[in-house]
Amino acid sequence: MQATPRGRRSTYLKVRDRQSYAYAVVSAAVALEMDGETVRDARVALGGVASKPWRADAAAAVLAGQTLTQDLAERAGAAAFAQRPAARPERLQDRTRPPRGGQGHHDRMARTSS
Amino acid sequence: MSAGIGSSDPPPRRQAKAAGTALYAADFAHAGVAHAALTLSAVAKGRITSIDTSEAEAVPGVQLVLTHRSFNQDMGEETFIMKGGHMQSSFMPLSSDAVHYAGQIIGIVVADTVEAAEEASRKIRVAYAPEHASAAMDDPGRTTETDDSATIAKGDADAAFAAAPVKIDQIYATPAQHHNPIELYATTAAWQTATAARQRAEPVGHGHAHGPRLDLRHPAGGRACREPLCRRRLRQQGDHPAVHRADRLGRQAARAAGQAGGAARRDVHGGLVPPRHAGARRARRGARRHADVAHLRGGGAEFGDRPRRLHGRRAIARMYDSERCAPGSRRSRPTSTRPASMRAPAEACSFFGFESAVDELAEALDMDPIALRLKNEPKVDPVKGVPWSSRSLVQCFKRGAELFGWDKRQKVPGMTRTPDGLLIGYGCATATYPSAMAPAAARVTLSADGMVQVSTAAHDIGTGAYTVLGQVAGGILGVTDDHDRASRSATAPCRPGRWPAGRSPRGLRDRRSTSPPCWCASACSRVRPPPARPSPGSIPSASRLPVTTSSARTAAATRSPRCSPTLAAARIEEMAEWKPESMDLKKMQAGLAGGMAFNGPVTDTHTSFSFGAQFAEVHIDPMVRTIQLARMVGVFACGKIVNPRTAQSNLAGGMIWGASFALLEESRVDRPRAKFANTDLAGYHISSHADIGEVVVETIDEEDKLVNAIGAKAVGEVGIVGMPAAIANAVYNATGIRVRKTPILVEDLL
Repeated sequence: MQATPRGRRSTYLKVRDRQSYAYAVVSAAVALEMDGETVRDARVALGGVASKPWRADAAAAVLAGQTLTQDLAERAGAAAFAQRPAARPERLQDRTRPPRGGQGHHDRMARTSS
Repeated sequence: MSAGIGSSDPPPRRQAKAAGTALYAADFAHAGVAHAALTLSAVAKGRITSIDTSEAEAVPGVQLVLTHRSFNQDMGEETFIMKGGHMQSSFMPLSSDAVHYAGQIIGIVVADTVEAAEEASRKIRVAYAPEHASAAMDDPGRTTETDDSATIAKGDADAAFAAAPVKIDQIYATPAQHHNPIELYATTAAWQTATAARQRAEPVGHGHAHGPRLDLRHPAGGRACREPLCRRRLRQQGDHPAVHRADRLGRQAARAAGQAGGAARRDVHGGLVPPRHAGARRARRGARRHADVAHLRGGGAEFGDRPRRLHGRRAIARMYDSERCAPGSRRSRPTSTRPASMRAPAEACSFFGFESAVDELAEALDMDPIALRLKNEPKVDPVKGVPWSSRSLVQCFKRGAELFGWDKRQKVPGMTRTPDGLLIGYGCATATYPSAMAPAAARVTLSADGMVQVSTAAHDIGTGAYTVLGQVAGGILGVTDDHDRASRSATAPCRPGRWPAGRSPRGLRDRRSTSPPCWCASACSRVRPPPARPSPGSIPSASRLPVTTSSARTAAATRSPRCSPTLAAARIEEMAEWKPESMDLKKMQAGLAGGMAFNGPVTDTHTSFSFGAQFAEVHIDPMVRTIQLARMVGVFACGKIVNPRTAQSNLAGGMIWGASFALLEESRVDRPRAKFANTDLAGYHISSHADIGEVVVETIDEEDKLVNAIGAKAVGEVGIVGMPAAIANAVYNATGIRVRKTPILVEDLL
C-alpha cells in the first residue's frame, strides 16, 4: 500500500444494531487531507450498502476545497446516497417484510380484522 | 444449614455453569449408543411424492432409515401438550406424506456414529409436490378468524370509546421470535427392565431428572425408560414443546432400532422449533380529561395456528380500573408454521402495545404516566369483582420511581442530554403475570443415617428449582442441602407423569412453579420431628432420629451416637400431594398424571397476579440514532420470595430479555420459501453484554395469604413483560418519535 497524506486524518464510523458482534447497518470510512480548516482532498468509502466497500466519490467531491463544517459533512452524506449505487442491496429485513411501510400494512390488516 | 424460606441460598453447581463445565443432556455418556440424525423438509407445504433412501442406506454404519413409509398411520395421535393442536403442531411427524411447514421432520437415520447418521440424513432424496405456503402474518392467502371464546367484556365499550374526549387508537406490531438456545435439543433413550427402571439411581442434572417417562415396549420385551433429560439453560428454552417433540423422535428411533439406545440431535432452530407468534394489536383507549381511563378496547390480528389464546386479554382487562372494556382478539392463520410459547407468551407481546398506549394516553391527557396508572389502580379485580390475593403495584411504582429518579424526567421529549451530547429518555411501564396453581406431589424420605431425600416429578431448567426445594426442606427439617450427595443417591422418582407434576418448579420462576414448594413444605412438615412427642414402641419415629442436629454438611449430621443399631436400617417416608384449595380431586389426579390442571389466576374467591413497575433510561445519538440502554430498574411484588438471590436473578434476566425484545429480536420471514431466514445467533440478535447498562432489581415484601400455602406468586416471566414498552416509552421521551413496533431500530428513528 502506498502511503498518502490523505490517510493522516481518517476515521471509521460503524452504525450497528448492537454494540458487539453485528454487521454494520451502514459504515463510513473517511480520510481527509486538510489545509487548515479547508479540505484539500477527501476519500469516502461506505460499508453495508453494497456487496463490497463502496467508494462515494460524489461525497468526496462535495468535501473537496470546502471549509469543514457540520453542514458540509451532512451535504456530503446526502450526496453519497444521491449517487445511489446501482448494486445497493436493501437490508434483509427490507426484502423480507414491507420496509417501513410494513407498519402501515399491519395497520390496515389489523383495522380490517378488529 | 439452610435458613429456609426467604434466605438467599446459592444455587448448587453455579460455578460449573458459569465455567461451562455443567453437562448438557447429550453430554451424558452411554455405552453402545446408536445415533440418530433428522432429515427436514425443504418445502413449507405440500406432499412428498417420492422418497428414495437407497443412497442413505448405503452409507457405512447406517442401521436404519425411517420415513413416513416406515410408520404411516402406525404413529397414532400426537400426545401430551400438542394434542389437539394445543401447542406447536398437532400431527405426529412421519405419520403421512403431508408437509405442513418448512423444517418438518421427514426422515430419521440411525447409525453407529453421529457422522454416519448426519451424512446419510443428507442423502435421502425427496421429491415434493409443493403447495402455496405463507409464514408471515400479512402474506396473502392467510385466513382470519375471530376468537370469541372466553370473551372479556364489560359495558358498551364501543359507545364509550366514541364518546371519550381523549382517545388513543393505534396498532402495535411485534414480530415472530425464536429461542436460540446454546444447547442443542437432544434426547437419549435407553432400554431397561421395569424393575431396573424403578430402582435405578439417576444422576441429578439440570433438567428432567425425573422427567417424562415412556411406556414403550422394547421389541424384545422389557420396558423403555428414558434417561433423564438433563438440561442446562443459558437462555430461554426450558420446557419447550420441541423438547417433547425431540423426545418423541428419540423414542421412535430407539423403538425402531431395538437398540441399546438412540439419540437425536440437530440444530433445528427456526424450522422444527416453533416461534413466538408475530402479532399486530390494535389498542384503543379512551379517557376523560383529568379523569379515569374510561375504557379500553384491545385486539387486532394475531398470528397463530393454535386454539390456545395468547392475546393477553386476561391480563390487559385487569390492569387498570376501567368502566367499560372489550378486549377482542382475531387470529390470522398463516398456511405454514405454527407458533408456540416463549416466556410470558401472551403478556410480553400484548403489553408492548398496551403499555405504550398508556404512555400515549398520559401525554394526550397531559398527565405523568405513573400518575395516570396510579389513578386507575383497581381495588378489586375489575372484570370479576373478586379481591386480589395481593396487589402491590402502587408500592412498586413508588419505590421504582425513587430508585430510578423518575422526578428528573422531562415531560417534553428531547430536552436533556448526556455530557457527550446524547439524548436522554426516561420511560416506564407496568408488568404483570398470572399466578395459576397446579397440583403437585412430593416424597420426603428420612434415612437413619440422617439423609433426607426429597423427590418430585418435575424438572429444573436451570433457574433454581433444586435450590428452592432444598431450602424449603432444609429450613423445615434443619438439614443442609447437599446437592452432590443427593445426586449420587437419588431414589426412584415420585409420581412420574408425562407432564412433570407441578410442571416447572424453576425456583419460583413462573406461575407453575409456585406449587412445588407448597407440597414440599407439606411433606417435610410431616417428616419433621414433633419436638415434644415421645415415640413409643420400636417403630422408628422421627423424633428419635438425629436429623435436627444442625451441621455444615448433611452427611456429618448422620451418624449420631444416639442412633441405635435398629434405627440405622430404618427410614421414614412421607408422601404429600398438594392441590389448589378449590380444585376437585379428579382434576388433581389428572394433573398429577401429567394432564393440564390449573386453578387461577382467577378463581371464585380471588385473583392472583404478580406485578411490577419497570423503568428504562436510553441514550440516543442525535445524528446516528443508535440507542444505548443505559439503565433498567424493576421493582416487583411477587408475594413471598423464597430465595431472593435466584428470584432477583430471574427478574434481571427477564428484563434483559425484554431489552432484547425491544431493540433486537426478530425472526425474519423468507416469504417465497415461507420459512424463517435468520435461524442462528449470528443472524438473530440478542443483547450482548455491551448492550446492557445498569440493571437494578428489587422486590417488595408482600404478604399473600390466598394464593397458596407459602404465599409465593409468579417470578419467572413477569420481568420480561413491561420492559419492551418501558424502552419504547423512553425512546419517545428522548426523541419525540413514537415507534409502535419492535424491534426499535436505527432506521425507525431517522
